[in-house]
Amino acid sequence: MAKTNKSIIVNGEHHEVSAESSEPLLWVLRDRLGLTGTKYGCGEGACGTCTVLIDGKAERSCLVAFEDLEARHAIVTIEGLVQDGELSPVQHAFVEHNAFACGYCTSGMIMQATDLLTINKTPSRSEIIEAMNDNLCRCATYPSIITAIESVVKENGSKSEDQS
Amino acid sequence: MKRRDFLRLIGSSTMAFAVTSCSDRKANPLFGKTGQELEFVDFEILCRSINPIRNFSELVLFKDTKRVEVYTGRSELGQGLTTVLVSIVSQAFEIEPNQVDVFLADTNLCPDDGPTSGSSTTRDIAWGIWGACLEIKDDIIAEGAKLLGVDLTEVRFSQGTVFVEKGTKSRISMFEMSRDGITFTNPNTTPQRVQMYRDAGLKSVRALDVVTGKLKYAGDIMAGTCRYGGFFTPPEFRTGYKFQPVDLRATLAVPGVITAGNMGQRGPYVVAETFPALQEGLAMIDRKSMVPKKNELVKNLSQVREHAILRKTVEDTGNVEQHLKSCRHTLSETYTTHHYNVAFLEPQTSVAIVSDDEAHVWDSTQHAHRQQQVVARYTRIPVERVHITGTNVGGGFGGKIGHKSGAEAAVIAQATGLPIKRMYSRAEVFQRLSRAKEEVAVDLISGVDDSGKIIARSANIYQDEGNGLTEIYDIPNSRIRLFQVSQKNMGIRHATIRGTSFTQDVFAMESHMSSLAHSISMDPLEFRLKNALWHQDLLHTAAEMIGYGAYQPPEDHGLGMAIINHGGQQLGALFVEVGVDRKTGRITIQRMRAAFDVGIVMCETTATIGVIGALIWGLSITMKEELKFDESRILTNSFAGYDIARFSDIPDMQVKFIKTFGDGLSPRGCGEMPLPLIAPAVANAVYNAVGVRLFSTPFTAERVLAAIRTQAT
Repeated sequence: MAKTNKSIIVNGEHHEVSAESSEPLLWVLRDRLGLTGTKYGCGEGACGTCTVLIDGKAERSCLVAFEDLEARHAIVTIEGLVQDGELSPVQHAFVEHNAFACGYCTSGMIMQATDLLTINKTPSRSEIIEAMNDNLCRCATYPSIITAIESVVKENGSKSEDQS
Repeated sequence: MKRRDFLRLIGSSTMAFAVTSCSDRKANPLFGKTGQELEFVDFEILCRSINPIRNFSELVLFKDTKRVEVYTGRSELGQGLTTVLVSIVSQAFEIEPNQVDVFLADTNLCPDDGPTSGSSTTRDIAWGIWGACLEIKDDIIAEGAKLLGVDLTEVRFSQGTVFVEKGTKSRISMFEMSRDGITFTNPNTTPQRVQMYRDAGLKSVRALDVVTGKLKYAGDIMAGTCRYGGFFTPPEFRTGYKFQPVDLRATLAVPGVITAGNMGQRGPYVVAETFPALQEGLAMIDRKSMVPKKNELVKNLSQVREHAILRKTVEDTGNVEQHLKSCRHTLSETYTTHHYNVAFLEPQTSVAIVSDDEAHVWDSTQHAHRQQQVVARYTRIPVERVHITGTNVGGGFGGKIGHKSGAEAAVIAQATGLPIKRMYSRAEVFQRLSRAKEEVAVDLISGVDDSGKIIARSANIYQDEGNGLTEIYDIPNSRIRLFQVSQKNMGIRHATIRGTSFTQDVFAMESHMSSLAHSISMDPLEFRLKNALWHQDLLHTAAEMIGYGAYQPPEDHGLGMAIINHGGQQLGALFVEVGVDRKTGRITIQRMRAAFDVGIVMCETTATIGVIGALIWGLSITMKEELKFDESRILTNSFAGYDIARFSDIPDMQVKFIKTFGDGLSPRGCGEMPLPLIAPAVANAVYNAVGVRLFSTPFTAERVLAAIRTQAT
């Protein structure tokens, strides 16, 4: 199978990429663009370690084939969450609450939580658990991850009260 | 170049080795010698002398760059070693945390101070560094006074600087002092010094790199510039597999495959441009000509006992047989456990560059110096020309001590002349089976008198690893024997996994304790309080946390408890509340309350994450995980078929650290100890809830339902 050339947008930048049609986005990001913050965990969408945002929605990058990407898709990886040198609210909360141990799952956790908090700025605890439930952490830092996300929810709640 | 020369060359002004104390230190021929004598001991010789008996050495040095550097051969697994080291060194010298650099797990830079395992790194390494720092500070103050021309009583130390107290503005920074030579420290710190330690509450120093994706793991090294290499992993057990040279034309035809070959008994290998191409190339290998070994699995307990040989008598006091015969109440039970996998999220991963007579391997390892030996053996390159750079480890849990990815990367790199990345696929993590925990059986017989005092106990433990428990109850006649089950007949390699054999043994022992209590109609808490050697305060604390005395259980709910003494140093008590669905057999853990005594808690933030994580690990392997296999192959080889604990499994959890025994003047480690408490505490809670005893793990709904139905008939 011949390689395909394509332009994709990752973290706001256009990239001309040559890859096998079936190559998962995960490996395009890691080996062709050097964005190694997105990790391999299982290769079958079962652990969430490779989660990225595509048009704002959390996707398992190990399941998205290069041929299915379109030039209009806006892909955001963990490296793209920092804006003007500032951590995103979710990244900041993970730092504040030490919401990791080995850190290998953290990129995927942060991307999944970012998706959740984009759709629903003030999810309940059960909504957080439901949204995050397919992201695995073998170090089992789940309680501190929930605490971190809830701290962003609290902040969002304060902001919406201020605005009302 | 000798290490000391190297350190001088890079501008060190003060060097110090720290050797932590441990029980067998007297066997060290160097122990007890003075620092002056050690001046002439070469660093490498020192490390080799120390390491075989598991003492540890580290190094602290001040450079003229006004930074403190810490070197240890241990790895950062997420246990917080880097943060703890930065915290204690900055605290000791009253300098900013960003003035401390930590170098880990590099065979060219760091001493071999043993594997990063057994929940011991903070205890052994960080505490040694703390003691070394205090002694070095004393030296600095004395040297500073001398250089400033005043008496020792006239100076004070603050923020890395020696000041003259009164009448002058004279000062000298510790970084300005030349400390020619090595200060050898035996950091058996005095109580006064130990009390100086405060948990500074430092957040993880790696946090910014973690949350921005900048933290580098082995798989992130040379991304896009090296090739992916791998060996054929048969679906059958690899142990005993007879590899034959195979025709690799189909593999070579896969787009992205660069080369492939046969490497004797290591089997066929493939090199590809990308990870997916490698997997496809490996999948094309025709294995018809290769012969899997038929494994005769030991499937039942009589076979386990038949194949076992006595390996060790851990404890033998009094006359067990005689007193068991004379006891009014005796109870004989057998407990068995299951296989599970380490299942870290980061598969074993290594990157290797090999030239004619040198190898450099970046490795996700818990013991860089052991990997150095393994790579040297595989490549036949002299060990001193093998350089291992240990990277951040994405979960180790014992499974990245003796793994082969580094050596495999190196031999493929050697064969092809290409830089090679060896990253196991998820299926390989399961199929290699090199880190699957073995089945264990424990036979227990105990005798109790009318007052609830345990008079005699016999425990026969059948397992492949571990040293067996020592007794944590005051039993005058006690025998614990460890029987080794032959691996040849198990078809599955045993492995050290977080919790080691404590996980299986404590399940048996602590389930049996509650069974015994019920057999004489005694409250299990009262029974433990009566017989325990050290756990009374922990039991009282954890019981109070869960509201034991006032507990009014809803229907089919109950409380259970368990205690542990891990390695003679780490004590824990856990209470859990469960609910049991009698129709489905499903257990729901409602609450966990735990009290631990781990000595000094050096960094409560990382320690809490560690103990919570260990409890959830215990929950996961007890309630969810089970490796399934037939006589020749593993059947669970993906997360889709092997479920581990996730967000929705986490109960309401609270933990407390308290001090209950000993001088409490050193840290004792805490990352493993909570894990083995889960299975017995849950089993005991299930008994309390619905009156059925679970003798085997895991506690699947099917197993619980079967036990409930058996009880009903």
